[in-house]
Amino acid sequence: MNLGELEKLILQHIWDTGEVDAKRVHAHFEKERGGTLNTIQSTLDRLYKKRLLSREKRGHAFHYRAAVNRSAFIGQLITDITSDYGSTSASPLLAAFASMSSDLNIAQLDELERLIEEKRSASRAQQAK
Amino acid sequence: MISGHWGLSLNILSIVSVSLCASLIFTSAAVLFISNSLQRFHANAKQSILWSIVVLPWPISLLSVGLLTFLEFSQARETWLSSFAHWHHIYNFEILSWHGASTWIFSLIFIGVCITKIHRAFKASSKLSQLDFFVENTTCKQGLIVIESAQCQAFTSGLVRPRSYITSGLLDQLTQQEASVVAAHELAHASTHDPLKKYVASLFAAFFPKSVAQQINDAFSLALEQIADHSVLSTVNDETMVSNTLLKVSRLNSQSVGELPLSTCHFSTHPLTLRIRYLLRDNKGRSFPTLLFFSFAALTTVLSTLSVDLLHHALEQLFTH
Repeated sequence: MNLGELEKLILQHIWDTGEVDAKRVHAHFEKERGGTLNTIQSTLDRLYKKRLLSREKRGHAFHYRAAVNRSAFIGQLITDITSDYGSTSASPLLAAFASMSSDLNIAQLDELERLIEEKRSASRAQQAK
Repeated sequence: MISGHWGLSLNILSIVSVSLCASLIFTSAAVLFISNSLQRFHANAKQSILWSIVVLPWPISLLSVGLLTFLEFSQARETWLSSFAHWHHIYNFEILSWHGASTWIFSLIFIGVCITKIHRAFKASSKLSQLDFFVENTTCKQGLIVIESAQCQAFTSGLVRPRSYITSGLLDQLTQQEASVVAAHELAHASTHDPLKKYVASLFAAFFPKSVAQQINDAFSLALEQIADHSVLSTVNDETMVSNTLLKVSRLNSQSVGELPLSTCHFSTHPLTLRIRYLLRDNKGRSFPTLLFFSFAALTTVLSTLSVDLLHHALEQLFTH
């Protein structure tokens, strides 16, 4: 999911403060960034459509809250980064410590452990000589 | 009909497209032939072999252009050599001919591949900058950016400015020494700009048939991982320790990722198996086969240049020019 600069700032703000309406968000960003209430409203609406926010109408205004918590969002982002860019096991834009290795079964991983143990024993025996 | 310098340029592009196609076919055949033998080489040699393979078709196609245009321009036009390889009417280019068709197809494929790859790079960069935004002011441990997440991941990304990340979920499960292994491995990737190398190699590989490109990308990725694993030994001089950490992170990774479809990769050829076996073996393998490579390059240049002429005549026999 691609987020614009203001979308990221607003999402971060909602994670920090909890439930907000457009006026409160506008008041918060007006001093440091400027921008109109309309821009804030349409950004909140975009985040809602991206299912990152949920909203409830109270009176004439929508009240927004985060639909996804921060750690779940970051977790999804990590999954996207480490597994995206094609279905290939080798992502062409990333080097992951063990990205290609999660599809071996337990018995196969145990077999590798045995190999390592064998090597360790051989090294110890050699050092003892 | 386009004449003059534009005609010459388009004819050169036409020769490049046919010669490149021929050299890609010959090189693909070589990749299929040598793929099982690659593990016998040192990881650095493997990286050099794969670089040579992906780049080779391009200088070969330029050599073909040089050879064919030289024969056209020089006095060698009437020699025995020109009966094997020649290109008539080098200053005249007919768009509605097979020359035109091959040039258009090549141009479309070239532009398509470049656009796809650039789009993918932008997408990756955008996701990474998003991650950077949300993990801003986070702590760094042993040179790695720590991401607060329950997932067990460590990775290096970023084409221009590579940076290495580790999740707090993984860090919590590792001992100090294991964390040093992961950090040294990831920082080795960052210091050698491996994400950029992988990207450029995959760009060249994209011109090969899909299955061959996949093999090249997987082998290239494995070579870079093996080089990074090996570089860790300068920090932690115990290959069993590095192998154990690799295995432990793999187990944690599979637990956090959950059930995956059955692997299509056999145990003995699985990247993790190959990485651990490479770390544990005393003899790291052969060096770059210089003589073999230059012999293959020369043979492929000759065959590709002859293919241009052969295709030229075969098409002219079947169809009108």
